[in-house]
Amino acid sequence: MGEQELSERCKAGDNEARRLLYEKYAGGLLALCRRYVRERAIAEDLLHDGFIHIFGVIDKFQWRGDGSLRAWLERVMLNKVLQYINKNDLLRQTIEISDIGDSISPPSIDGDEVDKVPPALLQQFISELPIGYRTVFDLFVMQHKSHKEIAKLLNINEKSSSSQLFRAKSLLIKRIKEYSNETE
Amino acid sequence: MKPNEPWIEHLQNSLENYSEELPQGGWERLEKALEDKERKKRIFWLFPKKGWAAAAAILLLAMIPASFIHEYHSVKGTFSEVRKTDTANAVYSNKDVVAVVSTSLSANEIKRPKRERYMTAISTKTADSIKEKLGVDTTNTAPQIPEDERQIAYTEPQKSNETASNESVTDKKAEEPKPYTIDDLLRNEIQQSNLGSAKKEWQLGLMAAVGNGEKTEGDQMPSLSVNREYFSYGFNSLASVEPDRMEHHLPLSFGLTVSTSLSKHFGAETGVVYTYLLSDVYENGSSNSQKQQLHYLGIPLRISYIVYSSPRIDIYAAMGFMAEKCVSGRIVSDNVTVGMRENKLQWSANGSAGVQYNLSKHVGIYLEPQINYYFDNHSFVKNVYKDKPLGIHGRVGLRVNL
Repeated sequence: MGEQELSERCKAGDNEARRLLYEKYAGGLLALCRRYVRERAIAEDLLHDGFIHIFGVIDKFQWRGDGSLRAWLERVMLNKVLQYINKNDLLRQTIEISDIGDSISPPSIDGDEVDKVPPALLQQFISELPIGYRTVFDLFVMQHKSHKEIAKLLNINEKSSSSQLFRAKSLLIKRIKEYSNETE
Repeated sequence: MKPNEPWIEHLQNSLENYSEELPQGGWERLEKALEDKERKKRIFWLFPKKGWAAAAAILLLAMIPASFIHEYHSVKGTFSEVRKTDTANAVYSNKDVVAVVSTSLSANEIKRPKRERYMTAISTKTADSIKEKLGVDTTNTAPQIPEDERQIAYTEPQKSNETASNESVTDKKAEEPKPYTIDDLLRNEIQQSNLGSAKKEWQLGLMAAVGNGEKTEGDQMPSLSVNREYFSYGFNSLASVEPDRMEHHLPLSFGLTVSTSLSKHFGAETGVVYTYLLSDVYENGSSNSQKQQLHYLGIPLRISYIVYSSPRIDIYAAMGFMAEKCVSGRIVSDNVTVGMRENKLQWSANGSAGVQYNLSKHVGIYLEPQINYYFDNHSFVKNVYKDKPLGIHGRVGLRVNL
């Protein structure tokens, strides 16, 4: 069943279609949640709440070609996650301790080295970053948001957003390099 | 935005389709939560209080005739076919066109089956539209139909759809309704596109409604003499009246309405409605009546749902509420007048099904049977609302598109 038919049937309240939608997209959405919320139980609760919300507002979804359903689901879920983060003021609770100073040249790593890391481990590396870092990192890298948008979403300033991204990248590169060294 | 470094792109590709293992029993938990949510929603709408149940029942009742009409039109297919049919039906009902419309106002007097009644209501309007279009008085042309065909039409309106209409209508070219003009189709297109984009359309309207009366007898009458709320001032000869019998006349309402479209099918309507309640009070079996006159001003709010829409005819169902306040009241006997006051608001729920005939792009007239349920406001005023909480009202009116 295509995305369009699936969404139409979900709009009509078809339970089987809802199940299919859940089974098709819940894994990816849970991965998204876990890049922000490290604890699996909390991430699963967010996924659950997010899907209840999704089925409540799916009649507002308009199919605009392949991939539009997934993009819409991710947006709804992301809102849910950011609501949780903002509501619990998680970013403010983070004490930014970092042994990495802001250097002028951005850190970098060879793409092949990234490819050698299994996706699950990459995901784990991201989720192990401090909450501020990983939140900004995912919003910028995976959700393609600008620093301006991130600043607005998280109620922080743009400078803070770019600084956290820089640190996130540095830490991540460090972890990937460590992994490469271990496996060699 | 700056282009991402190459390693970031590798990371994006790697994580793009990454998914985590689904939570155990995740779907079952979700399914249960969704069911609970939907059940709660249903329960909220149906049974939060007794009154809501009544309102829901009223809506259901109101939907039945509306669905009949919908079915009628769907079965008949194209509009021109329906109009032929209606012309045939109009033949038998034409003699008492006015009577049919007016009697359908007080539904308790109607003996005909529902389906036929509503079809007649439509045919009346359609007949008018044909008259208007052709400039032909169909009342005069009606007797040209052979007697036997009229008989068929009268006794078997369903059969007439196939027989009488096909034969008699094709015989009489003068009665053949004009096909739709491009203007009509264009208007339809515009209406449809307006509906589709849920563009807000505002309408102003005038309405008049008449309800059903009620006779009440027995000892349940409130004691007017001790009722401070009932009489706004003093004791006098009327204050000691112990009525044995009350006859409520038909409630009459007039109002201004403002309505707007909410979406393709839904609309909302509010306004101001004035209602006049007149009751005859007979004390101690006397044949001399005193008149109880109550004047109410109400603010209705209701949601309507368009079941069927064409450039000429709209069929809809509606439900809503109204809050009314007695703004003036008095009891009048031959020589004494006593003021009355009711402080409490009178709430009612209503459901209705209506058919609107659009005279032009801007003006439509409608006929709308309405079922009202009046909640007991526990005031001491005795009126038709308390004696007959469930009432049928016939409503007519016009709406002007702004």
